[in-house]
Amino acid sequence: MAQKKIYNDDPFRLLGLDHQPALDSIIERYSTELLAYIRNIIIDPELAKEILFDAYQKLWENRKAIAAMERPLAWLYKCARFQSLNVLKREKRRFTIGLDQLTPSQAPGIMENDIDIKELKKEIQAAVNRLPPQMQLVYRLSREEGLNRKQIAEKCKVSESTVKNLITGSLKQIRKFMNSRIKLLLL
Amino acid sequence: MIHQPGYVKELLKKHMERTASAHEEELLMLALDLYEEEELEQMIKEVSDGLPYNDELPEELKRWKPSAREIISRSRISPLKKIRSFISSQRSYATYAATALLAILLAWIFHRPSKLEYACSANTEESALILPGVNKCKLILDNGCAIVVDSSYTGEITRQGNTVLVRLPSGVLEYKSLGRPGQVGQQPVYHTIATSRGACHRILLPNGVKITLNAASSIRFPVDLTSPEYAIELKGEAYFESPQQLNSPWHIITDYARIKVAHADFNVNTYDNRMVSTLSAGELMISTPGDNAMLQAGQQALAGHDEQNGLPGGIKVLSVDTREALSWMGPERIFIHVAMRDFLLEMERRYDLDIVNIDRASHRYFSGTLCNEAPLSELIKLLRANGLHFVQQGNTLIFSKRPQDQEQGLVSSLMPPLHEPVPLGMN
Repeated sequence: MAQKKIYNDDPFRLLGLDHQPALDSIIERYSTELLAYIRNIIIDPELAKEILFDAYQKLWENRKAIAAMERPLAWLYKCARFQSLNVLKREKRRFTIGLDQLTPSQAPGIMENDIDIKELKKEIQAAVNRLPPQMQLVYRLSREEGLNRKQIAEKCKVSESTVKNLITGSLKQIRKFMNSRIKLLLL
Repeated sequence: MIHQPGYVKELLKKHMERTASAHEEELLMLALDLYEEEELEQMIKEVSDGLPYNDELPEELKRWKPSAREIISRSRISPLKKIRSFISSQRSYATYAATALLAILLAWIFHRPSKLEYACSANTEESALILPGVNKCKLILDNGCAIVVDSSYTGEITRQGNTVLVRLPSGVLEYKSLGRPGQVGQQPVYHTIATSRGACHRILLPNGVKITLNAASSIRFPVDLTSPEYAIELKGEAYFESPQQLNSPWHIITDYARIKVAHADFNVNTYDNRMVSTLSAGELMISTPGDNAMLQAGQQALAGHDEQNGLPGGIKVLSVDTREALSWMGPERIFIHVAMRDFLLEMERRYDLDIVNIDRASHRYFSGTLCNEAPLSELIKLLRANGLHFVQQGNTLIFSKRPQDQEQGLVSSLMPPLHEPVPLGMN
């Protein structure tokens, strides 16, 4: 068919009109640089692909809002960063579970560092235990069970913004507590 | 230590530069819990902005591109979110309108038949995937064997005598002569190439004739060039381009008239109980059992049964702007004063739709342009913007009668003015 590609226009704007070929052209144009960017944070190629896929999926789901943005590409990058961060955290959870199961005899040589990390974890736990009960609950659901704000809000029957405030508050207190304790720890 | 953002940024930098020790990696992982996502995201941004751009990717990753189709099919927005976004979009409109109208607008939002809106918005994802002019056709041999040729095919499809049929990577079906003399005295072998609705295909015949076959159409022709009279039987619509150096004229046979071609570029449309042949270059000879006519470039011939002109058996020649008739192949389809019914019938073919109760659609005329690559969702929007009422279920549009709208002439005011096609599809 003698069809010309007439969409040399801004693909993000066209995307806002549910135009599928626009998504194709965004993928074609930006995939390599986005993958390179994601790989700064996430080394594993399969995970990097997954992150990019998720970022594009979010782009499609929010196309109307993004089309209206001044710098849609910046949004895409931001999304890639967030997704990378999520994967990093998710993988960490997997990773730390494995680490806790290590007995010192299986991991000789890193004893010194091991103590450091373990001490640090203890310090964080101590700080969490000193939080007011509601903050403690929200912090644990978020950081230990890996729930997101929305899920926590539903579980605790409070609004998402309350969850956000509680987390902000608890993080501040934990860091403050650590600040006072670490000096002691390092002595 | 890790409670200080500056320290975490150092760890992140080392992580990104791949110089972090295992111990530092662990510290970083612990630090991820101590900051909010937004803070960490900002840190990542600051650190990576300071790093040199590094596009050293393994070849496999450089080539890897996710498919838009898969992305769209995986993203299904929950109905709840849909309704919410629908309401909020109405609200943003309300702030944009005069404040005094706010109360009225809100009342209108809740009073609105949101069920219908909801039904249509739930389908948006799907209809964004329905594109016109899919490159696909069916090759039918005389013995009844049929091969569906789509983008999964490249290379040789079949061989017939000294001719081989290949599908080029560009999507064209090409007949190539192998240069061996054909065996004389054999029965000529015929091929039929047919497109379904929603499809479209280009074909290059052994004698160099280029054919663009529109949706729901077919051509039947002898594969061997040595046939004494080379004739192509056409149903539906196609555009033909013939090279200048053909030795002998060839023919196109339709149900309504016969066309003799020396060299010419022309369109033949036989969808609607009549043949409309539009010539953009060269000369054509049109004949019916009772009439014949010569056609010059820029002219259009009608034969068969036409509502306006009648013409049983006769041929009528008109001078026209050929762009409208040929626009189905261009970037934009042009419609000039087309009856809504004809417009919808064409859309049925183009998008493989089923239109139920087509007679309930308005009896108005339509002028405008429609992007030939626009997905179905765009067409739906266009129709709704023009005040047509229907329910969409996948590929089916069910029209419902809204007499009050038709009486009030609500539709015509939204129609683009005549003779001044306005791009409605993509703006």
